[in-house]
Amino acid sequence: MGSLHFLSDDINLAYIMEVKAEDGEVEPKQKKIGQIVSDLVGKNEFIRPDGELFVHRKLVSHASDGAIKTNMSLLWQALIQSKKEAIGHAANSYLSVTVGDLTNSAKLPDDQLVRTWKEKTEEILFPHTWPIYCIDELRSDSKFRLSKPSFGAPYTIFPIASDYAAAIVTGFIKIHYRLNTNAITRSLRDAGLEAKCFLGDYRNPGGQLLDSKRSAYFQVQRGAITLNIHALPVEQLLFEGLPLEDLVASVISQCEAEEKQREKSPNYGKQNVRRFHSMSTYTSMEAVRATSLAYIFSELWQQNQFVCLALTIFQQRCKATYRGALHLYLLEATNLLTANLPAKEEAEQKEHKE
Amino acid sequence: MAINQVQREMQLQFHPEQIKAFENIETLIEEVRRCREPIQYRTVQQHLGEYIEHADNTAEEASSRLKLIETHLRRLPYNKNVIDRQSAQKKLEQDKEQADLERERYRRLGRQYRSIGDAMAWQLYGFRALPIYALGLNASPGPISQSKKRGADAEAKKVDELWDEYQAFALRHDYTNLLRVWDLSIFYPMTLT
Repeated sequence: MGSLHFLSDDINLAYIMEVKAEDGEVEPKQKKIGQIVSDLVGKNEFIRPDGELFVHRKLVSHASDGAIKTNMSLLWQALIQSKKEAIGHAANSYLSVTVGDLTNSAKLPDDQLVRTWKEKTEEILFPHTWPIYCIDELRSDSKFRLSKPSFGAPYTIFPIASDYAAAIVTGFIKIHYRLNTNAITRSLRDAGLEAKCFLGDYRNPGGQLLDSKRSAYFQVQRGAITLNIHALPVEQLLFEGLPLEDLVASVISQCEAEEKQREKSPNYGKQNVRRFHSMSTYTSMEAVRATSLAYIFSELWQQNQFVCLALTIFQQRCKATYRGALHLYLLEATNLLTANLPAKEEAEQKEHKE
Repeated sequence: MAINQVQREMQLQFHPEQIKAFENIETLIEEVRRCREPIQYRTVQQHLGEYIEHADNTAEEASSRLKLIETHLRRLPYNKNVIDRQSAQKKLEQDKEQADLERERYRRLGRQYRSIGDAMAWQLYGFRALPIYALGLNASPGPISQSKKRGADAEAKKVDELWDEYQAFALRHDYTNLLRVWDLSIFYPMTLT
């Protein structure tokens, strides 16, 4: 049996404990990983087993009026529309969110439902939505995300009503995401970085990436500093409402930290290995998640209307004003959104042959 | 998506257990969001534990059944006691498909219910991403199987001991998808308030 005290920047958070069936000792390997967790949480860094430094950075980001920046409003808009029309869609200049509500799909005829879903999730978005033409689009959906739970924030802590969250988790509401990687690259370049999206490499015949880059989506360069942007921030951008400006700010902050590190030790980075790894967390995202606590009493909310909430939570450190909407709905077992399509196509083909 | 894949998806999505899980998960989310005191968290974890253990046990049973059917299928050509091999094979293949579907259904349900444990974890850690990410720096332990039963029982016992002695709430990492380092996160009443 082993336990470890978890120290944070300002409060003692918790103990973690390893429990053994018989009064045995915690194995050295387990002790080591427990210590890594404690160091990362308490000191914001740890030395990896390969000797490289892993550092955590917290990016404080709020708009000048104190409001929290987030793209969560896209999800809200799409959810509300899906309640009325079975399929809802909202987009900004780099992210497109489409919501399909299976509990509500009887509102549209099957063929229209499928057509609308395909249009929103597959067809090119016009320049009034995505002013930057997108060659390499990153697409994913809630089903894929739920099948591979990893670091990401679960839908159960999204600031949406519990019935919506439950419907997403159980697959009765499906969310489709599209990310304009060209817009991301442009933003990084506008911030003074040389940027490249790796998705393009797969387009070249026989195009492959080096092993070290396979898990990365973007690469940025500033002077002698080269950084790969891996899945975690990209997933936050795609799924969790992280605004692009926060991602760019965290990349710049990481470049600056590496530059300082190089100034301190001149030999730093001379070898062909990365010496320094960084992970960013965003106060805006944490505050957005904390507001989920307010989304309880569905009956207090009016159907199909935006409701303003003023909240002071999260240890009184984050103030946020949110617009959200909640609806009560009954579960209707209806057809899967795209379920009829292949069957229908096959039937049509058969009919055609006959 | 092939037609049988679509049919499979529909069978999974609109199965009564999945529809029931939707209702249960909605209730559990509300319960978690109302939690402020250790006793409230403890109650939710007890409810959650019943659902997760049911899902994991059923998935494991289906998995064992699947393995057994696969063995029968492999041995079928050499089984002299079978008279009508064709119909026996058809029956076994149907059973295999059914067991596979059931295993997938309950694995999914296990993941879905564990997202409630994830919500508890985020909430208990004050919605701070760092402890959650740090405690995720490990391989997933997977569902609670019979082989891990002794460990799971020891954890349950420890959770009760901590409650009885200190009124401390111990979140079981096995009830989450995200927490993968060590077994319990223990929150004493002072830290929660």
